[in-house]
Amino acid sequence: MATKSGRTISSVKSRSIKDLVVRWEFLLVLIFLGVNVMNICLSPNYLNAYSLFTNINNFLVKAYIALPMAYILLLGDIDLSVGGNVCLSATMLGIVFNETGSIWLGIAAALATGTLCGALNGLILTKFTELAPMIVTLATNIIYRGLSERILGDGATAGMSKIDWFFNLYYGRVGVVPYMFIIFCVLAVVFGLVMHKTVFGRQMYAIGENKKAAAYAGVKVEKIRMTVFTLTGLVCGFASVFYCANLGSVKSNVAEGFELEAISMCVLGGISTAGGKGTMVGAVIAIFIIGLLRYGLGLINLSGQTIRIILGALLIAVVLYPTIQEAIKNRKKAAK
Amino acid sequence: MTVKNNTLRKGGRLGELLRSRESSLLLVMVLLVAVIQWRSGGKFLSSTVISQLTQNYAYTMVLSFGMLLVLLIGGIDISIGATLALSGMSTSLLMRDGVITSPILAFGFSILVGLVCGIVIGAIVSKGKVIPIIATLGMQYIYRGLTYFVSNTQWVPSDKMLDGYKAFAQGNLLGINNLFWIVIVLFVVMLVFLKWTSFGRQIYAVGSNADAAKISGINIDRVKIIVYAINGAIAGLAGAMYTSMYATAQGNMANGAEMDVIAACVIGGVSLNGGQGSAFGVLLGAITIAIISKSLSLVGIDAFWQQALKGGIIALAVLINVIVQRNSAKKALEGREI
Amino acid sequence: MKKLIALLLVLVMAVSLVACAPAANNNDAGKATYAIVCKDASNPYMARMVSGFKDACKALGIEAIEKSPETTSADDQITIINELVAQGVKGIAIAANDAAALKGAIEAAKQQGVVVVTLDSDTEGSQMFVNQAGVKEVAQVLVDSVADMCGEDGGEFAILSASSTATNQNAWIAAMEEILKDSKYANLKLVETVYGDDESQKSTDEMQNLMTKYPNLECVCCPTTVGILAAAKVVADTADCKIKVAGLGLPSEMKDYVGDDKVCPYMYLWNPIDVGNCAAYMIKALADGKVGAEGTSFTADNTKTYEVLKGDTAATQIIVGPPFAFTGENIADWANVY
Repeated sequence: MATKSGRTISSVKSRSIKDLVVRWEFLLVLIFLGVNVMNICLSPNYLNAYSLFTNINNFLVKAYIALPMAYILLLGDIDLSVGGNVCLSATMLGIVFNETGSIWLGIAAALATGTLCGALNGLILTKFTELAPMIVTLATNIIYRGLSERILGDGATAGMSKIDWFFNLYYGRVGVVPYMFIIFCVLAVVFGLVMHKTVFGRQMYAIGENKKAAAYAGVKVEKIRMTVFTLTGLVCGFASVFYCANLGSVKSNVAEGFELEAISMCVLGGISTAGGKGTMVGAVIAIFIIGLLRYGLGLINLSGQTIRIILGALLIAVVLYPTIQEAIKNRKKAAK
Repeated sequence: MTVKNNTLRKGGRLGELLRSRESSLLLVMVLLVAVIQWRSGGKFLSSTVISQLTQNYAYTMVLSFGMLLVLLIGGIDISIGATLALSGMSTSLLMRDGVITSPILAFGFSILVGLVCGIVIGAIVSKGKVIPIIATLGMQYIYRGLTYFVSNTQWVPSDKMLDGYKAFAQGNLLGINNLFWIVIVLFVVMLVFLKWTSFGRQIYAVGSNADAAKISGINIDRVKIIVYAINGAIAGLAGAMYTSMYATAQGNMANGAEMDVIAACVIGGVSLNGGQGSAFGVLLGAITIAIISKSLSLVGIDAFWQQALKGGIIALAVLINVIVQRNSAKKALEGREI
Repeated sequence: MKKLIALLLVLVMAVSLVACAPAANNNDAGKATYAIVCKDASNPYMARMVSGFKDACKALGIEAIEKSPETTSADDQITIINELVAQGVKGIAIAANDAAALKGAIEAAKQQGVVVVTLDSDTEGSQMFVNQAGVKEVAQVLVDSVADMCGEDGGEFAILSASSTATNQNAWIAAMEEILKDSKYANLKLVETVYGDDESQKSTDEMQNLMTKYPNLECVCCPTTVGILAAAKVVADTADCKIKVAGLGLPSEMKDYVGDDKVCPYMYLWNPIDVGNCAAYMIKALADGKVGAEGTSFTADNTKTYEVLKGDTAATQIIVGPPFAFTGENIADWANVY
């Protein structure tokens, strides 16, 4: 979505971006601590490392996707097709595994499918730059899930969990820490470093801030967009491998709604959908805020729908925060 | 010079008409209908199927008009499915409990609930300065959650609804279904509203260039709140249409309807960047989506292909639109060079 | 000051969450807890099952927890099972959304000493499947009712199912196709199986399209509560339509349509309250080691006796009861029950 005045998270112009970011992360850390304190008070079972990690694993598949989604939002784009992509990649993994008997070929198929789907999004969007990413990825999301439906029909593809090491990709642990968590930490650090410490990262910020200006400054805008969309596809394929290890059986309704989950995580983390704003640290903290809040509320058996109301309210409250803060400041000034 | 210009403009105007978004969409639609008519063995273009289509997709068309306004000011609303469910459900619950005793009251109440939902979103977007997609993503969770909350996950069955309410959706006037009359009336209102009222022009102004609009004295916040409020009220109206049509209120009703509606608007030539789009285009777009959804199973396409095909046709329609626009822009440029 | 505001916000949030949370289950009080996991949050059928489960738990002096996933995809149910294990519940009854995908989570739960049974829909790893009615029995009554409604001379019929990923419906349809091979049903012709995705709009579309595509259609069989409702409504609203609707439906939702001279002469279902009830007693009996192997019989604490059979997916199963017919005479009474 294009940046237009009045459509950014904060209207505050006088403040430097760094200032805002520092404060945003500070707020997130506070909420994170608040959520944890609340969970500990609510349930005596919360502070059990084994169960805690079991439940962290549950949202890590979505968290994997949130990482490249942060890049996409940073560019001022959006990708609504990640759910369909994970579904199709997982389907291909299962189908290829069952046809050839080789899980390696299955994994290769999943990664290839994911990358291809991502590249297709990128190709359409960079060849037809006047198209809004929202509508294109909305359509490809339907197509990817539809293809999975076509391949699987009313059945499922299963049997992957019979291979021990593959099963352990999701369930295996070092001590109490699951492999998946370690991989997530590594990925998050890599994604964070690329975003904040490389030329590529700075170029992404530049594009998100002002596409035209970036192009005039010699940034290859379309090439970078293409790379990021393809990368997102690859990560979807990667995530689908772990998803398969978890489920061991794939139907065409898996990974429904992953796109909005991943976007919510990034937005709560301070990455504006208008582009050019936010940090990876914020996104990672937000992933755990949403995940752990869900877990804590699940432990006291609130219904899924009530949890949704609370998450929605939290999201709105957090994005409203800068405006409220500004209003209070202005009122104080006026009083003086 | 003037003579030359005049002749040019004459040819240009016809060309303009042919090259407009609406006409390229009309072309796509005619092609689509022709293929469907052929593949379905001539069953598609019958009065029965067309009246079913207009009745069954009336609420999606109505929603598209609301979405048009929101897209015109450069916003978006992905919570309309949830708003529809909340207003339809609360109306049906009150009908079940005997509080609402007349169909008109039911429609009114449903619109009111939608209106309130819309105003809340408008306030968050304008006064709270939150990006529309985020605000409506959050409110979607809240409204959908509230729907389950107020209904206690129960359904409202048809025997608990007013007979007049249920009969309305099945009734006809001059051979046209009542629900489609709502679409027609709303279409005419939108047409007049956007073209000939100053507020309608303000909406375009805000969408094409918010800064310029502000300088010229338009109260942007006010425009935004009113637009989201109208959109919410329309979603509420659609909630009443939905529950009267299907004579049941379920917590998950119209889940994901917003995506079909946004697709309808974009196919109809509305720009997601704001400031561009017409009521006529949106009507055509919504009818195209309705035709796709309705006919895929009618033409005997394997049930498991339908989903992928639907996505493909949406993508194709959007792409064709862009290609036609590009060509016409190119031709326009060439014309100017001569 | 800013920090103070932030802190306040967090505090307010935490307090409000604590306030709106139901009283926390205290597992240390020596009172065991059983949990029931539904398929989704928006189905009254599931709600009846939960009420039966809770009644039985109350009679046993056990705490009962009800959990519903946000979507019908398997990973949400996995999350719920993990949460329940973390809370230290003693038994879980789950209506599975996938026949295989929950296995990992269930095995992990069993390792922690949790008794896991399935009800309504079976899945791998479950110790006992509390089956509402045997797949073959359900398919048999459905085929028989279709044969009856089509009359002596047979005729064309179609199936309108839920979504293509619905496990129960797929099993019933497969069994129906098997039964139809019998020469007894040679004059019945299944023209098509379509999927309404348990949405009113899609189910209505599919039903109308069936009528357009197959003018000689005599009967439509809907093994799903949303589908049968939409199908019955379409037929009832179409003038001079002779099509009969058969299938599985909730009496409270279908009250308007069931009866000798109505679109649906009779339909079937089982008592979901009994199914939930039985599942709770079954968990208790399994925990106490009171359930024998295959071929023995099991008497629940509600004095009903069931035979332990070999399971299709789970290790063993019991069948709660044959499908029950709802006719014009008894529908009004049952509509008040479930």
